[in-house]
Amino acid sequence: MLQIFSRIVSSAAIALTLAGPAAAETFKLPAYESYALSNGLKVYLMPQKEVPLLHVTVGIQSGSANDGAQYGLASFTGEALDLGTKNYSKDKLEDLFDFHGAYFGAGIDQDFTTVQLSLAAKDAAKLLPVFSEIVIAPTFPDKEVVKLRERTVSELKKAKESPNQVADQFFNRLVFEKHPYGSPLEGTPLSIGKLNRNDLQKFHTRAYRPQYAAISVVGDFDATAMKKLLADTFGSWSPGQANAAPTPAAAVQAKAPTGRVLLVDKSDAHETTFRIGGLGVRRDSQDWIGLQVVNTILGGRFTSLLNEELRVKTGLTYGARSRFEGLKNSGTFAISSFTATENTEKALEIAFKTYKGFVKSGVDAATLDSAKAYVKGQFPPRYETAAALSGLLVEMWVYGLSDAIINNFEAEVNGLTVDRANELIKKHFPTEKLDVLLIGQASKIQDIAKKYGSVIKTDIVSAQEGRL
Amino acid sequence: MKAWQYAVWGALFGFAGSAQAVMQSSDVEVLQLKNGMKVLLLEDHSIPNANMYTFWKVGSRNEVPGITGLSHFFEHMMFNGSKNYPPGSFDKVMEASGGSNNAYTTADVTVYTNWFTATAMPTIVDLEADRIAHLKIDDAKTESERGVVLSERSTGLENDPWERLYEASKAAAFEAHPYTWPVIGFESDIKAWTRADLERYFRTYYNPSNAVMVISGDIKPADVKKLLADKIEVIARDEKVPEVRTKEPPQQGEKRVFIAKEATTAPQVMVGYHVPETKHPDFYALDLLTEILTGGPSSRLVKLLVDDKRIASSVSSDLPQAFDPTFFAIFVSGMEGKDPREMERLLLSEIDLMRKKPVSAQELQKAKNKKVVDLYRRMETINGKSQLLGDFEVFHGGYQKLFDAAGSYEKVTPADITRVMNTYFLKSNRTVGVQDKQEPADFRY
Repeated sequence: MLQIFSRIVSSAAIALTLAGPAAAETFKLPAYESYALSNGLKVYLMPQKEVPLLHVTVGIQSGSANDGAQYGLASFTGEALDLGTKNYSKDKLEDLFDFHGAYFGAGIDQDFTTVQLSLAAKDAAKLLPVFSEIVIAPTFPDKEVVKLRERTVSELKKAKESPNQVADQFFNRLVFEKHPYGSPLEGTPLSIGKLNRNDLQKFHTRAYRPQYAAISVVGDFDATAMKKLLADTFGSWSPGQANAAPTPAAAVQAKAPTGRVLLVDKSDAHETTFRIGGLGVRRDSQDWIGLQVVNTILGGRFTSLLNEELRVKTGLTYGARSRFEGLKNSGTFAISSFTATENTEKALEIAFKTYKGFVKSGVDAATLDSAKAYVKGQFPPRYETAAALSGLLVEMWVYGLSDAIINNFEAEVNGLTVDRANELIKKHFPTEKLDVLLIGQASKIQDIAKKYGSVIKTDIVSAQEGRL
Repeated sequence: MKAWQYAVWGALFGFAGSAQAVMQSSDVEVLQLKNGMKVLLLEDHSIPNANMYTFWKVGSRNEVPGITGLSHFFEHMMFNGSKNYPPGSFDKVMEASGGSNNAYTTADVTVYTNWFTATAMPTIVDLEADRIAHLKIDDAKTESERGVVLSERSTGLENDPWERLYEASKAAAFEAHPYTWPVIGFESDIKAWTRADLERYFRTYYNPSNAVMVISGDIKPADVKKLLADKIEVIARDEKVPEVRTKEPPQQGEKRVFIAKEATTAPQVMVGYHVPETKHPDFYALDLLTEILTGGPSSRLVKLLVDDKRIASSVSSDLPQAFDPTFFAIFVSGMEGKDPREMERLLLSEIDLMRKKPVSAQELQKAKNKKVVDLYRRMETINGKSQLLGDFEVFHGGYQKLFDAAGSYEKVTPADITRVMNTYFLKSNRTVGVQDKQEPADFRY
């Protein structure tokens, strides 16, 4: 609010997810060890001594794709974990974490949930037992669930005032249709409004099981002491009635692309916020690193083709990008930007022309070399904090990725030839009848929308509810 | 993880702590260049990367009506052409050598940031030196960049529900001082400034003596010093940077602002007070107050408004780093269907209570602890280290103050908190802003 970042809108939703490192001296994943507790909980320990901090991430193999018709169930369960446990009331938990400068939080993705604690190293023995109780034995007190529910509903309703906060969710819905990957990650005002304590307990009993979970601890700790502490705090976590394995989302069938335009009316908008794209690749694709390099050229940096055409040359927007998002059994590709309502036609025209030109012409050696240098140089800072490394270890566990995604990154980037890069473009960038999302003043842009496919016109409330 | 984030609890700015195990004052090497620029170097080999932060002491407080937003627009033009790097090449050259960059503008400073593979240092210094010495304002670029900044302004208004209310409340609170206008400027000014305005700005404010540079990371100080001596130290300008003359007169009574937003889902309320600049001795007590009021779920206002009364979904506060007396603001994001007058009444009753009854030692200790751990969080990266050193050098009167911060927080007593509240958190010194579908019946008492 007080500070204007002038060059790049850095939004988590459109951030690059580079999967790999390197620089002048090759960047390697710091040493870590992994083992399992007798209840099946996978443990990752990575010492980092620079600052006296710890970051702990528990990964749970159930995410929004496991919500079924109860959109937001996994997300809301994660949010509700710290409403109370057997030994601690909500107030006690909040006081304790705040007093020690610790942050507790839950995160949600399509394939998994994370529960995280960031704390000072010296407080590990005091706070980890409390943290484990929150993960293993939350009580979901009814009174507190009701309060959190009304607050969550209010915040979800508020989110639709900011197109950037809801655009990716709407786009996912358009691409995945009724597949679980299209479910609204954090639920909808109506779906959250229906969840009760019983739903949360059922979901927790089913999903929060050590044999379907992992914990990563990164930071300043003594390995022997930490192993003992983890055994003491997470060792008693019961596997429960085995046979309750979470079902991962089914692979998404490539559908006959229909080229649809979802036009979401926001009558007070003075901009059009848009996404263009379709299905992409799985996170564990062998082509992932190559695609990151190639996408850098199209929309992954300031001098990318999209930003060059839509911002630098024409001043139509503050920023334009593209990205791949990889999931367990599918993925998406999306171009994203926004422009003043009156520039909608021109901006869309340029975005399509730039994208089609890129797919048709491919890349040249000089541009590819520049992109390679860029991704290698920008990689190490992505994994500088305990939080980032802790999250990375859990993601590697979720998607079944090996250390090679980090340690072979540089070699793989260096080995990418122009021919191979152009093959990747032909192979993975969707080109037939792309899906388009437009959020803006429908009355002013509906005729433009028609040019890009069959229009599904809706209002922002219906779109937020996942009704197309 | 796409949907993970810490809740942002107010304070943008946390530090303190016995930082001896982490980064020490003696790790920082200081260079005073002959052209007046001060440079701080910090060697850190944790990753094969380095960064360069250049803090220019110019921001929207240096503007006047007619050129509001020019500091920020000028920042955009610093990327758009200089003698040896024609428009577009600054970014192309930097990215091809493995670097990326950004910049930000506040009311007080304009800060340029480069992040790069350590081996690219000569290229980065060359790029930076060329634009500091020989910026070229290109007419065509000025026009396209005008569009970019208009888009930036509009997308902020489109996506940040606080932007309009905050701008209006700040404009009401400051009647004389340039903190009254938004950093990004007014639309009419963005559309109107000229090349002559930009060139004058460059001559006036981009004098190396008006800058502090911080370089951290996998560096060899001897090599960096030589590069700086060859490329940066030789750039000299003799123009004197003009002082900002205007001082905000004391506020004589409450100010109230209402913004009608038909499409709003829930009311939003903000309350702000004039408080002193960052260098003032009361800074530490005020900074701890941001934690006591809104720092986490157990803080006073979150507990009261969110948890007990269920009238708000979140509460936060903000104390900007500033050269001149600034604006301490509290933001209440209301629950749908609740009454903004009640939010205001409850918030003010808590403030009144705190003016009478000192906070407990435990509550104050909690705020201090939070500051310490947050400081470590900022020191985890070479990026955070550069920004911290620069912030302290520029706003607190010297980077060494960073290493005294823990002690400065520790010295604050419950009585100090009470005194500060009775000095600044007064009705006559406050501005109240409300945004809702329609104005409450008796909004102006």
